[in-house]
Amino acid sequence: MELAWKVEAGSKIKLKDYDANYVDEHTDPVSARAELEILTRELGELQELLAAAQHHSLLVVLQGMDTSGKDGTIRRVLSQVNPQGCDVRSFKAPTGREMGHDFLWRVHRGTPGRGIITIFNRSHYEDVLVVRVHNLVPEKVWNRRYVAINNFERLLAQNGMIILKFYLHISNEEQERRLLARQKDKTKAWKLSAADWAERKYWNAYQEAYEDALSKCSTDEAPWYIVPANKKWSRDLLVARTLVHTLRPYKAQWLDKLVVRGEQELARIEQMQKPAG
Amino acid sequence: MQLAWKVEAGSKVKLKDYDPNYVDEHTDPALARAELEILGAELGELQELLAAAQHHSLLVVLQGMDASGKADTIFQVLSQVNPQGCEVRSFKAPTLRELAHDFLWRVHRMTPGRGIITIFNRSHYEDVLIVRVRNLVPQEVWSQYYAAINDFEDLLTQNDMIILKFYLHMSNEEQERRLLARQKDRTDAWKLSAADWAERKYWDAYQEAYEDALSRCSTDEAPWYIVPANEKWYRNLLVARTLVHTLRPYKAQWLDKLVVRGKQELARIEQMQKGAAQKPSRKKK
Repeated sequence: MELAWKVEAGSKIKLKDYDANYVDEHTDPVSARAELEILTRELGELQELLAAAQHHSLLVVLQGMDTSGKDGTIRRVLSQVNPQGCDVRSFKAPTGREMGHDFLWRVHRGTPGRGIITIFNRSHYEDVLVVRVHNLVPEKVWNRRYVAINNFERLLAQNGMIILKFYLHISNEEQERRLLARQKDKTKAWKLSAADWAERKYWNAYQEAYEDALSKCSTDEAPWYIVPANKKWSRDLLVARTLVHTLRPYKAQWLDKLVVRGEQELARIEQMQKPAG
Repeated sequence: MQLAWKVEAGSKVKLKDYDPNYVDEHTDPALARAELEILGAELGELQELLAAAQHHSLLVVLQGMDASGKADTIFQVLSQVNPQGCEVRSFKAPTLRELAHDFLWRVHRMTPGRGIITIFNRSHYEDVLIVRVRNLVPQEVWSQYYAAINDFEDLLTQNDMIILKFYLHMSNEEQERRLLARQKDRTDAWKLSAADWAERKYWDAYQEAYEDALSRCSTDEAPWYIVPANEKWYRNLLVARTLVHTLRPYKAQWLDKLVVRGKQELARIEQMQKGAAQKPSRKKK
Protein backbone atom coordinates (compact mmCIF):
# COMPACT_ATOMS: atom_id res chain seq x y z
CA MET A 1 0.00 0.00 0.00
CA GLU A 2 1.36 3.38 -1.01
CA LEU A 3 1.57 5.85 1.91
CA ALA A 4 2.56 9.49 2.01
CA TRP A 5 6.33 9.93 1.59
CA LYS A 6 7.99 9.77 4.97
CA VAL A 7 10.93 12.11 5.50
CA GLU A 8 13.61 9.99 7.15
CA ALA A 9 15.31 11.63 10.12
CA GLY A 10 18.43 13.50 9.03
CA SER A 11 17.66 13.48 5.30
CA LYS A 12 18.00 16.63 3.22
CA ILE A 13 14.80 17.42 1.32
CA LYS A 14 14.61 19.05 -2.10
CA LEU A 15 10.93 19.56 -2.91
CA LYS A 16 11.66 19.49 -6.64
CA ASP A 17 12.38 15.78 -6.24
CA TYR A 18 8.77 15.19 -5.17
CA ASP A 19 6.09 15.19 -7.85
CA ALA A 20 3.04 17.11 -6.66
CA ASN A 21 1.00 15.39 -9.39
CA TYR A 22 1.92 11.90 -8.25
CA VAL A 23 -0.89 9.34 -8.11
CA ASP A 24 -0.20 5.69 -7.48
CA GLU A 25 -0.99 3.51 -10.47
CA HIS A 26 -3.22 1.04 -8.64
CA THR A 27 -5.87 3.58 -7.83
CA ASP A 28 -8.26 6.02 -9.46
CA PRO A 29 -10.82 8.51 -8.12
CA VAL A 30 -13.59 5.90 -7.88
CA SER A 31 -11.61 3.22 -6.09
CA ALA A 32 -10.05 5.93 -3.90
CA ARG A 33 -13.48 7.09 -2.75
CA ALA A 34 -14.44 3.57 -1.77
CA GLU A 35 -11.18 2.99 0.05
CA LEU A 36 -11.38 6.34 1.86
CA GLU A 37 -14.84 5.37 3.08
CA ILE A 38 -13.46 2.19 4.63
CA LEU A 39 -10.39 3.91 6.08
CA THR A 40 -12.34 6.72 7.71
CA ARG A 41 -14.59 4.17 9.39
CA GLU A 42 -11.54 2.32 10.70
CA LEU A 43 -10.13 5.65 11.90
CA GLY A 44 -13.37 6.23 13.81
CA GLU A 45 -12.99 2.84 15.51
CA LEU A 46 -9.33 3.46 16.31
CA GLN A 47 -10.20 6.81 17.83
CA GLU A 48 -12.79 5.17 20.05
CA LEU A 49 -10.13 2.78 21.37
CA LEU A 50 -7.57 5.57 21.79
CA ALA A 51 -10.13 7.56 23.78
CA ALA A 52 -11.09 4.60 25.96
CA ALA A 53 -7.55 3.34 26.58
CA GLN A 54 -6.49 6.81 27.87
CA HIS A 55 -2.85 6.09 27.34
CA HIS A 56 -1.78 7.72 24.09
CA SER A 57 -2.78 10.94 22.44
CA LEU A 58 -2.53 11.83 18.76
CA LEU A 59 -1.32 15.07 17.25
CA VAL A 60 -1.68 15.61 13.51
CA VAL A 61 0.05 18.68 12.09
CA LEU A 62 -1.17 19.90 8.70
CA GLN A 63 0.91 22.38 6.79
CA GLY A 64 0.87 23.51 3.19
CA MET A 65 0.76 26.57 0.97
CA ASP A 66 -2.51 28.50 0.62
CA THR A 67 -5.16 26.43 -1.21
CA SER A 68 -3.23 23.20 -0.65
CA GLY A 69 -6.37 21.81 0.96
CA LYS A 70 -5.73 21.65 4.70
CA ASP A 71 -9.38 22.21 5.60
CA GLY A 72 -10.71 19.84 2.97
CA THR A 73 -8.36 17.09 4.13
CA ILE A 74 -9.47 17.46 7.74
CA ARG A 75 -13.13 17.42 6.75
CA ARG A 76 -12.94 14.34 4.58
CA VAL A 77 -10.40 12.21 6.45
CA LEU A 78 -11.87 12.76 9.92
CA SER A 79 -15.51 12.63 8.83
CA GLN A 80 -16.26 9.57 10.95
CA VAL A 81 -14.29 10.46 14.03
CA ASN A 82 -16.29 11.34 17.14
CA PRO A 83 -15.95 15.11 17.54
CA GLN A 84 -16.02 14.73 21.32
CA GLY A 85 -12.53 13.27 21.31
CA CYS A 86 -11.15 15.31 18.44
CA ASP A 87 -10.14 18.99 18.48
CA VAL A 88 -9.09 21.03 15.48
CA ARG A 89 -6.90 24.04 16.29
CA SER A 90 -6.05 26.75 13.80
CA PHE A 91 -3.09 29.00 14.37
CA LYS A 92 -3.54 32.44 12.85
CA ALA A 93 -1.33 35.47 13.41
CA PRO A 94 -0.65 35.55 17.16
CA THR A 95 -2.63 37.89 19.41
CA GLY A 96 -1.00 40.57 21.56
CA ARG A 97 -1.15 38.27 24.56
CA GLU A 98 0.37 35.37 22.64
CA MET A 99 3.15 37.62 21.36
CA GLY A 100 4.10 38.28 24.98
CA HIS A 101 5.23 34.67 25.31
CA ASP A 102 7.66 32.29 23.62
CA PHE A 103 6.45 30.93 20.26
CA LEU A 104 5.57 27.49 21.69
CA TRP A 105 3.42 28.83 24.54
CA ARG A 106 0.13 28.96 22.64
CA VAL A 107 0.92 25.71 20.89
CA HIS A 108 1.72 23.77 24.05
CA ARG A 109 -1.61 24.86 25.55
CA GLY A 110 -3.36 23.38 22.52
CA THR A 111 -1.75 19.94 22.64
CA PRO A 112 -3.98 16.91 23.26
CA GLY A 113 -4.25 15.13 26.61
CA ARG A 114 -4.31 11.34 26.83
CA GLY A 115 -7.11 9.83 24.80
CA ILE A 116 -7.57 12.92 22.61
CA ILE A 117 -6.86 13.58 18.93
CA THR A 118 -5.86 17.12 18.05
CA ILE A 119 -5.40 18.41 14.52
CA PHE A 120 -3.26 21.49 14.03
CA ASN A 121 -4.40 23.42 10.95
CA ARG A 122 -1.13 25.32 10.66
CA SER A 123 1.08 25.07 13.71
CA HIS A 124 4.31 26.09 15.44
CA TYR A 125 5.95 25.51 12.05
CA GLU A 126 4.58 28.87 10.93
CA ASP A 127 7.30 30.33 13.17
CA VAL A 128 9.93 28.98 10.77
CA LEU A 129 7.80 29.59 7.63
CA VAL A 130 5.89 32.87 7.35
CA VAL A 131 7.98 34.35 10.17
CA ARG A 132 11.19 33.47 8.33
CA VAL A 133 10.01 34.42 4.84
CA HIS A 134 8.76 37.83 5.96
CA ASN A 135 11.58 38.51 8.44
CA LEU A 136 9.13 38.95 11.30
CA VAL A 137 11.99 38.17 13.68
CA PRO A 138 15.75 38.28 13.00
CA GLU A 139 17.41 35.20 11.51
CA LYS A 140 19.32 34.47 14.71
CA VAL A 141 15.96 34.10 16.47
CA TRP A 142 14.15 31.84 13.98
CA ASN A 143 17.29 29.84 13.41
CA ARG A 144 17.22 28.54 16.99
CA ARG A 145 13.64 27.42 16.66
CA TYR A 146 14.32 24.18 14.80
CA VAL A 147 16.11 22.81 17.86
CA ALA A 148 13.43 24.20 20.17
CA ILE A 149 10.75 22.46 18.07
CA ASN A 150 12.59 19.15 18.18
CA ASN A 151 13.01 19.42 21.96
CA PHE A 152 9.34 20.29 22.35
CA GLU A 153 8.10 17.42 20.20
CA ARG A 154 10.40 15.02 22.07
CA LEU A 155 8.80 16.10 25.36
CA LEU A 156 5.39 15.38 23.88
CA ALA A 157 6.39 12.03 22.38
CA GLN A 158 7.99 10.90 25.64
CA ASN A 159 4.62 11.44 27.25
CA GLY A 160 2.88 8.98 24.92
CA MET A 161 1.86 11.37 22.16
CA ILE A 162 1.79 9.96 18.65
CA ILE A 163 2.79 12.77 16.28
CA LEU A 164 2.32 12.86 12.50
CA LYS A 165 3.12 15.89 10.40
CA PHE A 166 1.82 16.26 6.85
CA TYR A 167 3.07 18.70 4.28
CA LEU A 168 0.45 19.02 1.52
CA HIS A 169 2.62 19.48 -1.54
CA ILE A 170 1.03 21.42 -4.43
CA SER A 171 2.75 22.92 -7.43
CA ASN A 172 2.94 26.63 -8.15
CA GLU A 173 0.75 26.14 -11.26
CA GLU A 174 -1.85 24.22 -9.31
CA GLN A 175 -2.08 26.98 -6.74
CA GLU A 176 -2.64 29.55 -9.48
CA ARG A 177 -5.35 27.35 -11.00
CA ARG A 178 -7.11 27.03 -7.64
CA LEU A 179 -6.97 30.73 -6.87
CA LEU A 180 -8.39 31.57 -10.29
CA ALA A 181 -11.11 28.96 -9.87
CA ARG A 182 -12.10 30.53 -6.57
CA GLN A 183 -12.38 33.90 -8.25
CA LYS A 184 -14.78 32.48 -10.83
CA ASP A 185 -16.91 30.54 -8.36
CA LYS A 186 -19.08 32.90 -6.31
CA THR A 187 -19.74 30.22 -3.70
CA LYS A 188 -15.99 29.82 -3.12
CA ALA A 189 -14.97 33.46 -3.35
CA TRP A 190 -15.27 33.92 0.43
CA LYS A 191 -12.12 31.83 0.82
CA LEU A 192 -10.16 34.38 -1.20
CA SER A 193 -7.86 36.94 0.26
CA ALA A 194 -5.86 39.55 -1.60
CA ALA A 195 -2.97 38.37 0.59
CA ASP A 196 -2.98 35.00 -1.21
CA TRP A 197 -1.79 36.64 -4.42
CA ALA A 198 0.73 38.75 -2.54
CA GLU A 199 2.12 35.65 -0.86
CA ARG A 200 2.62 33.93 -4.22
CA LYS A 201 5.52 36.31 -4.89
CA TYR A 202 7.35 34.54 -2.07
CA TRP A 203 6.74 31.04 -3.46
CA ASN A 204 10.42 30.12 -3.75
CA ALA A 205 11.29 31.47 -0.32
CA TYR A 206 8.44 29.42 1.15
CA GLN A 207 9.56 26.26 -0.63
CA GLU A 208 13.03 26.76 0.77
CA ALA A 209 11.67 27.37 4.27
CA TYR A 210 9.58 24.18 3.97
CA GLU A 211 12.62 22.23 2.83
CA ASP A 212 14.50 23.31 5.95
CA ALA A 213 11.58 22.57 8.27
CA LEU A 214 11.08 19.11 6.75
CA SER A 215 14.80 18.34 6.79
CA LYS A 216 15.60 19.63 10.27
CA CYS A 217 12.47 18.58 12.13
CA SER A 218 11.66 15.10 10.91
CA THR A 219 12.44 12.64 13.70
CA ASP A 220 11.59 9.01 14.38
CA GLU A 221 9.13 10.10 17.10
CA ALA A 222 7.57 12.91 15.07
CA PRO A 223 8.10 12.30 11.36
CA TRP A 224 7.15 14.59 8.51
CA TYR A 225 5.25 13.15 5.54
CA ILE A 226 5.14 14.76 2.14
CA VAL A 227 1.74 14.34 0.50
CA PRO A 228 1.46 14.91 -3.26
CA ALA A 229 -1.58 17.17 -3.21
CA ASN A 230 -2.36 18.35 -6.72
CA LYS A 231 -4.99 15.62 -6.93
CA LYS A 232 -7.36 16.11 -4.02
CA TRP A 233 -8.70 12.56 -4.02
CA SER A 234 -5.20 11.10 -3.87
CA ARG A 235 -4.14 13.57 -1.17
CA ASP A 236 -7.04 12.58 1.09
CA LEU A 237 -6.43 8.89 0.48
CA LEU A 238 -2.73 9.11 1.32
CA VAL A 239 -3.33 11.03 4.53
CA ALA A 240 -6.01 8.55 5.61
CA ARG A 241 -3.84 5.55 4.76
CA THR A 242 -0.86 6.97 6.63
CA LEU A 243 -2.96 7.72 9.71
CA VAL A 244 -4.58 4.29 9.81
CA HIS A 245 -1.30 2.55 9.07
CA THR A 246 0.35 4.38 11.99
CA LEU A 247 -2.43 3.78 14.50
CA ARG A 248 -3.30 0.17 13.65
CA PRO A 249 -0.28 -1.34 15.48
CA TYR A 250 -1.49 0.24 18.74
CA LYS A 251 -4.88 -1.46 18.52
CA ALA A 252 -3.89 -4.64 20.36
CA GLN A 253 -2.42 -2.81 23.37
CA TRP A 254 -5.42 -0.46 23.59
CA LEU A 255 -7.75 -3.46 23.62
CA ASP A 256 -5.59 -5.11 26.29
CA LYS A 257 -5.82 -2.02 28.48
CA LEU A 258 -9.59 -2.02 28.13
CA VAL A 259 -9.85 -5.69 29.07
CA VAL A 260 -7.68 -5.19 32.16
CA ARG A 261 -9.66 -2.16 33.22
CA GLY A 262 -12.95 -3.95 32.61
CA GLU A 263 -11.85 -6.86 34.79
CA GLN A 264 -10.82 -4.51 37.59
CA GLU A 265 -14.15 -2.72 37.50
CA LEU A 266 -16.08 -5.99 37.46
CA ALA A 267 -14.12 -7.21 40.47
CA ARG A 268 -14.95 -3.97 42.29
CA ILE A 269 -18.62 -4.24 41.45
CA GLU A 270 -18.73 -7.84 42.68
CA GLN A 271 -17.07 -6.69 45.90
CA MET A 272 -19.73 -4.04 46.36
CA GLN A 273 -22.56 -6.42 45.65
CA LYS A 274 -21.33 -9.12 48.08
CA PRO A 275 -22.28 -7.46 51.40
CA ALA A 276 -25.63 -6.51 49.93
CA GLY A 277 -26.23 -10.17 48.96
CA MET B 1 27.84 42.11 49.30
CA GLN B 2 27.03 38.50 50.11
CA LEU B 3 24.45 36.97 47.77
CA ALA B 4 22.81 33.57 47.80
CA TRP B 5 25.23 30.84 46.71
CA LYS B 6 25.05 30.45 42.98
CA VAL B 7 25.36 26.90 41.65
CA GLU B 8 27.78 27.13 38.75
CA ALA B 9 26.67 25.26 35.62
CA GLY B 10 28.05 21.74 35.60
CA SER B 11 29.09 21.67 39.26
CA LYS B 12 28.19 18.76 41.52
CA VAL B 13 26.35 19.93 44.62
CA LYS B 14 26.64 18.20 48.01
CA LEU B 15 24.21 19.91 50.36
CA LYS B 16 26.30 18.93 53.39
CA ASP B 17 28.91 21.43 52.18
CA TYR B 18 26.42 24.28 52.61
CA ASP B 19 25.68 25.54 56.11
CA PRO B 20 21.98 26.32 56.52
CA ASN B 21 22.86 28.38 59.63
CA TYR B 22 25.19 30.65 57.69
CA VAL B 23 24.91 34.39 58.32
CA ASP B 24 27.44 36.84 56.94
CA GLU B 25 29.43 38.71 59.58
CA HIS B 26 28.55 42.20 58.35
CA THR B 27 24.91 41.98 59.22
CA ASP B 28 22.46 41.31 62.03
CA PRO B 29 18.64 41.18 62.26
CA ALA B 30 18.22 44.91 62.77
CA LEU B 31 20.54 45.89 59.91
CA ALA B 32 18.96 43.25 57.73
CA ARG B 33 15.49 44.66 58.32
CA ALA B 34 16.61 48.13 57.27
CA GLU B 35 18.41 46.80 54.20
CA LEU B 36 15.43 44.63 53.19
CA GLU B 37 13.21 47.70 53.35
CA ILE B 38 15.50 49.53 50.92
CA LEU B 39 15.89 46.53 48.63
CA GLY B 40 12.13 45.96 48.62
CA ALA B 41 11.59 49.55 47.45
CA GLU B 42 14.24 49.18 44.74
CA LEU B 43 12.61 45.95 43.61
CA GLY B 44 9.31 47.81 43.30
CA GLU B 45 10.98 50.43 41.06
CA LEU B 46 12.71 47.79 38.95
CA GLN B 47 9.42 45.99 38.44
CA GLU B 48 7.80 49.21 37.27
CA LEU B 49 10.51 49.58 34.63
CA LEU B 50 10.31 45.92 33.64
CA ALA B 51 6.54 46.28 33.21
CA ALA B 52 6.83 49.48 31.20
CA ALA B 53 9.70 48.34 28.98
CA GLN B 54 7.71 45.23 27.92
CA HIS B 55 10.82 43.43 26.80
CA HIS B 56 11.91 41.02 29.53
CA SER B 57 9.91 38.90 31.91
CA LEU B 58 11.04 37.50 35.25
CA LEU B 59 10.46 34.02 36.61
CA VAL B 60 11.43 33.25 40.19
CA VAL B 61 11.28 29.61 41.23
CA LEU B 62 11.11 28.90 44.95
CA GLN B 63 11.78 25.39 46.19
CA GLY B 64 12.52 24.00 49.61
CA MET B 65 11.46 21.38 52.11
CA ASP B 66 8.22 21.83 54.05
CA ALA B 67 8.47 24.73 56.52
CA SER B 68 11.50 26.19 54.73
CA GLY B 69 9.57 29.44 54.32
CA LYS B 70 8.65 29.70 50.64
CA ALA B 71 5.40 31.56 51.20
CA ASP B 72 6.92 33.84 53.83
CA THR B 73 9.85 34.74 51.58
CA ILE B 74 7.47 35.77 48.82
CA PHE B 75 5.48 37.88 51.26
CA GLN B 76 8.51 39.61 52.81
CA VAL B 77 10.58 40.18 49.66
CA LEU B 78 7.84 41.21 47.22
CA SER B 79 5.77 43.34 49.58
CA GLN B 80 6.56 46.53 47.64
CA VAL B 81 6.02 45.14 44.17
CA ASN B 82 2.87 46.20 42.34
CA PRO B 83 0.59 43.15 42.42
CA GLN B 84 -0.78 44.08 39.00
CA GLY B 85 2.45 43.00 37.33
CA CYS B 86 3.31 40.16 39.68
CA GLU B 87 1.70 36.73 39.87
CA VAL B 88 2.33 33.97 42.36
CA ARG B 89 1.60 30.43 41.16
CA SER B 90 1.53 27.43 43.45
CA PHE B 91 1.85 23.95 42.08
CA LYS B 92 0.06 21.34 44.15
CA ALA B 93 -0.55 17.72 43.22
CA PRO B 94 -1.66 17.81 39.57
CA THR B 95 -5.34 17.53 38.69
CA LEU B 96 -6.62 14.74 36.45
CA ARG B 97 -6.69 17.12 33.52
CA GLU B 98 -3.10 18.15 34.17
CA LEU B 99 -2.02 14.53 34.55
CA ALA B 100 -3.31 13.80 31.05
CA HIS B 101 -0.58 16.06 29.66
CA ASP B 102 3.20 16.15 29.79
CA PHE B 103 4.62 17.43 33.11
CA LEU B 104 5.55 20.84 31.67
CA TRP B 105 2.11 21.57 30.20
CA ARG B 106 0.61 23.18 33.30
CA VAL B 107 3.86 24.98 34.03
CA HIS B 108 4.33 26.45 30.55
CA ARG B 109 0.81 27.94 30.66
CA MET B 110 1.71 29.87 33.80
CA THR B 111 4.99 31.38 32.64
CA PRO B 112 5.13 35.19 32.56
CA GLY B 113 4.63 37.23 29.40
CA ARG B 114 6.84 40.23 28.66
CA GLY B 115 6.72 42.81 31.42
CA ILE B 116 5.42 40.37 34.03
CA ILE B 117 7.01 38.86 37.16
CA THR B 118 5.86 35.37 38.08
CA ILE B 119 6.83 33.57 41.26
CA PHE B 120 6.54 29.78 41.30
CA ASN B 121 5.87 28.52 44.81
CA ARG B 122 7.00 24.98 44.01
CA SER B 123 7.35 24.28 40.32
CA HIS B 124 8.16 21.77 37.59
CA TYR B 125 11.03 20.68 39.87
CA GLU B 126 8.51 18.76 41.96
CA ASP B 127 8.51 16.28 39.07
CA VAL B 128 12.12 15.36 39.90
CA LEU B 129 11.62 15.70 43.68
CA ILE B 130 8.44 14.25 45.20
CA VAL B 131 7.72 12.31 42.02
CA ARG B 132 11.17 10.72 42.22
CA VAL B 133 11.26 10.19 45.99
CA ARG B 134 7.80 8.61 46.09
CA ASN B 135 8.20 6.67 42.83
CA LEU B 136 5.14 8.28 41.28
CA VAL B 137 6.54 7.44 37.85
CA PRO B 138 9.27 4.91 36.93
CA GLN B 139 12.90 6.05 37.05
CA GLU B 140 13.21 5.76 33.28
CA VAL B 141 10.55 8.47 33.03
CA TRP B 142 11.76 10.98 35.67
CA SER B 143 15.37 10.59 34.61
CA GLN B 144 14.36 12.08 31.23
CA TYR B 145 12.92 15.12 32.97
CA TYR B 146 16.22 16.86 33.73
CA ALA B 147 17.05 17.29 30.05
CA ALA B 148 13.45 18.28 29.30
CA ILE B 149 13.61 20.96 32.02
CA ASN B 150 16.86 22.36 30.63
CA ASP B 151 15.40 22.46 27.10
CA PHE B 152 12.26 24.13 28.42
CA GLU B 153 14.11 26.80 30.40
CA ASP B 154 16.34 27.35 27.39
CA LEU B 155 13.25 28.12 25.30
CA LEU B 156 12.06 30.60 27.93
CA THR B 157 15.36 32.45 28.34
CA GLN B 158 15.80 32.72 24.58
CA ASN B 159 12.55 34.63 24.65
CA ASP B 160 14.02 37.19 27.08
CA MET B 161 12.86 35.63 30.32
CA ILE B 162 15.14 36.23 33.29
CA ILE B 163 15.06 33.11 35.45
CA LEU B 164 16.26 32.75 39.04
CA LYS B 165 15.78 29.58 41.05
CA PHE B 166 16.14 29.57 44.82
CA TYR B 167 16.53 26.52 46.98
CA LEU B 168 15.73 27.47 50.59
CA HIS B 169 18.22 25.34 52.47
CA MET B 170 17.12 24.41 55.99
CA SER B 171 18.50 21.72 58.30
CA ASN B 172 16.60 18.64 59.42
CA GLU B 173 16.70 19.87 63.04
CA GLU B 174 15.36 23.28 62.07
CA GLN B 175 12.45 21.69 60.23
CA GLU B 176 11.58 19.64 63.32
CA ARG B 177 11.75 22.77 65.47
CA ARG B 178 9.42 24.65 63.12
CA LEU B 179 6.89 21.86 62.87
CA LEU B 180 6.80 21.53 66.67
CA ALA B 181 6.45 25.30 67.03
CA ARG B 182 3.49 25.25 64.66
CA GLN B 183 1.86 22.57 66.78
CA LYS B 184 2.16 24.76 69.86
CA ASP B 185 0.94 27.94 68.22
CA ARG B 186 -2.79 27.80 67.50
CA THR B 187 -2.55 30.66 65.02
CA ASP B 188 0.10 28.79 63.02
CA ALA B 189 -1.46 25.36 63.31
CA TRP B 190 -3.52 25.73 60.12
CA LYS B 191 -0.27 25.41 58.17
CA LEU B 192 0.25 21.91 59.58
CA SER B 193 -0.42 18.73 57.78
CA ALA B 194 0.06 15.21 59.05
CA ALA B 195 1.80 14.60 55.73
CA ASP B 196 4.65 16.93 56.82
CA TRP B 197 5.72 14.44 59.49
CA ALA B 198 5.29 11.53 57.12
CA GLU B 199 7.48 13.26 54.52
CA ARG B 200 10.25 13.79 57.09
CA LYS B 201 10.99 10.06 56.88
CA TYR B 202 12.18 10.69 53.32
CA TRP B 203 14.51 13.56 54.30
CA ASP B 204 17.68 11.94 52.93
CA ALA B 205 16.02 10.90 49.69
CA TYR B 206 14.76 14.46 49.21
CA GLN B 207 18.19 15.93 49.89
CA GLU B 208 19.65 13.60 47.27
CA ALA B 209 16.93 14.52 44.78
CA TYR B 210 17.60 18.22 45.42
CA GLU B 211 21.31 17.67 44.91
CA ASP B 212 20.62 16.14 41.49
CA ALA B 213 18.18 18.88 40.48
CA LEU B 214 20.61 21.63 41.54
CA SER B 215 23.56 19.92 39.85
CA ARG B 216 21.88 18.98 36.61
CA CYS B 217 19.63 21.99 36.04
CA SER B 218 21.75 24.99 36.94
CA THR B 219 22.68 26.83 33.75
CA ASP B 220 24.13 30.25 33.00
CA GLU B 221 20.73 31.43 31.77
CA ALA B 222 18.68 29.87 34.56
CA PRO B 223 20.93 29.40 37.59
CA TRP B 224 20.05 27.80 40.90
CA TYR B 225 20.88 29.64 44.11
CA ILE B 226 21.23 27.95 47.47
CA VAL B 227 19.88 30.14 50.27
CA PRO B 228 20.89 29.32 53.85
CA ALA B 229 17.44 29.44 55.39
CA ASN B 230 17.62 28.51 59.05
CA GLU B 231 17.61 32.22 59.94
CA LYS B 232 14.51 33.68 58.37
CA TRP B 233 15.70 37.29 58.35
CA TYR B 234 18.90 36.31 56.60
CA ARG B 235 17.08 34.11 54.09
CA ASN B 236 14.84 37.01 53.07
CA LEU B 237 17.77 39.37 52.82
CA LEU B 238 19.75 37.06 50.54
CA VAL B 239 16.82 36.43 48.20
CA ALA B 240 16.14 40.18 47.97
CA ARG B 241 19.81 41.00 47.40
CA THR B 242 20.16 38.36 44.70
CA LEU B 243 17.02 39.54 42.91
CA VAL B 244 18.01 43.20 42.94
CA HIS B 245 21.60 42.39 42.01
CA THR B 246 20.38 40.41 39.00
CA LEU B 247 17.86 42.99 37.79
CA ARG B 248 19.86 46.16 38.36
CA PRO B 249 22.06 45.75 35.24
CA TYR B 250 18.92 45.79 33.04
CA LYS B 251 17.78 49.15 34.38
CA ALA B 252 19.67 51.26 31.83
CA GLN B 253 18.27 49.42 28.80
CA TRP B 254 14.73 49.48 30.19
CA LEU B 255 15.01 53.25 30.67
CA ASP B 256 16.36 53.59 27.12
CA LYS B 257 13.40 51.71 25.74
CA LEU B 258 11.02 53.96 27.62
CA VAL B 259 12.70 57.10 26.31
CA VAL B 260 12.54 55.84 22.71
CA ARG B 261 8.92 54.86 23.08
CA GLY B 262 8.08 58.18 24.72
CA LYS B 263 9.62 60.07 21.80
CA GLN B 264 7.66 58.02 19.27
CA GLU B 265 4.40 58.65 21.09
CA LEU B 266 5.10 62.38 21.41
CA ALA B 267 5.83 62.59 17.70
CA ARG B 268 2.53 60.83 16.96
CA ILE B 269 0.60 63.15 19.26
CA GLU B 270 2.15 66.22 17.62
CA GLN B 271 1.17 64.81 14.25
CA MET B 272 -2.42 64.33 15.43
CA GLN B 273 -2.59 67.79 16.92
CA LYS B 274 -1.35 69.36 13.73
CA GLY B 275 -4.11 67.64 11.82
CA ALA B 276 -6.68 68.78 14.39
CA ALA B 277 -5.45 72.36 14.18
CA GLN B 278 -5.70 72.35 10.39
CA LYS B 279 -9.26 71.08 10.12
CA PRO B 280 -11.15 74.08 11.56
CA SER B 281 -8.96 76.52 9.63
CA ARG B 282 -10.05 74.77 6.44
CA LYS B 283 -13.67 75.18 7.39
CA LYS B 284 -13.22 78.90 7.84
CA LYS B 285 -11.94 79.20 4.30
